[in-house]
Amino acid sequence: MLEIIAEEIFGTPLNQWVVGTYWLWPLLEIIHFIGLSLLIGGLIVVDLSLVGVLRSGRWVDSHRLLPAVVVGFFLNLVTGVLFFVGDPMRYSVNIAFQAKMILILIAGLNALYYHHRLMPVLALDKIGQSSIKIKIVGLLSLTTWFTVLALGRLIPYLGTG
Amino acid sequence: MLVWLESSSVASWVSLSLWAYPALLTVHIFGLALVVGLYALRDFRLIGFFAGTNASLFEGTNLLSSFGIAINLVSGFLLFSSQATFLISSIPFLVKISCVALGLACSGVIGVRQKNGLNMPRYYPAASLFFWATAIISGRLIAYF
Repeated sequence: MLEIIAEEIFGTPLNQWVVGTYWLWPLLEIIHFIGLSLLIGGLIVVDLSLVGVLRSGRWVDSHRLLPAVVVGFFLNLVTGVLFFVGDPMRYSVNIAFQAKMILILIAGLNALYYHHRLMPVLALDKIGQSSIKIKIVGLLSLTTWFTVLALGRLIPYLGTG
Repeated sequence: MLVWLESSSVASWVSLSLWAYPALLTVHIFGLALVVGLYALRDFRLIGFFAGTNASLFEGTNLLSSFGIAINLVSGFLLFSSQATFLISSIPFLVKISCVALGLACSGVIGVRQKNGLNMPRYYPAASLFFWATAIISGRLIAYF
């Protein structure tokens, strides 16, 4: 599927703009790194509160940090799409990139499950202890995002492309 | 000395081993996420973002950011050793290292002031954010200049 998208993108004006603008790639990298700091920095606090490692008041208090996570995610979504647009033939066949995309999907589904299934019920919980389901969601979130981080860094070194 | 470092067995291992360099880069970005991620959120909160949160939200994260600093000093030194003579004359690298030192100094000052319950003028967290952001920017630019 990625390869079909890649062929569609290759040669488009946006593809040529990313390829041809010499300062754009380093700028995208800088924004991608700042985005990942916000995303993962926020998630460490949120997820470790869910897991129960950080006992800082009620675990829902950490949710006030989620705007930073969302900003970081969107910075990296936009810059990530532009990376792909700039070099579609390399990314689409790269095993680290493919695995990274699947893990981001899993992390997204995990977040949706938490937000739509667990949160509405458990927000009523006054004792501030997180349930076993919440602990699993927090742990899964942290492990998937750190694996995403590793895979992203290894794109130039793993597999083809 | 740098020539000696670059020809040392550790440096040769970093540059010749198939997996050492990418593994060290991965460790280094884990450390970056821990250190800059946690410090940046703490700093944004001290500046006035995330209204309604308590300082206790970041209690217990000090251990993680210290762990991040430790693994990045080690991974950073090993990465440096393989390209010591190039990096020592690279302007972005020198800017980065200076900003890391200044960012750590800011974080130390902020930590001590928080511990002793002193007031926190906003320029402390603002300076910390500036140095960490500049460290990331110049770190990325090493490959381009």
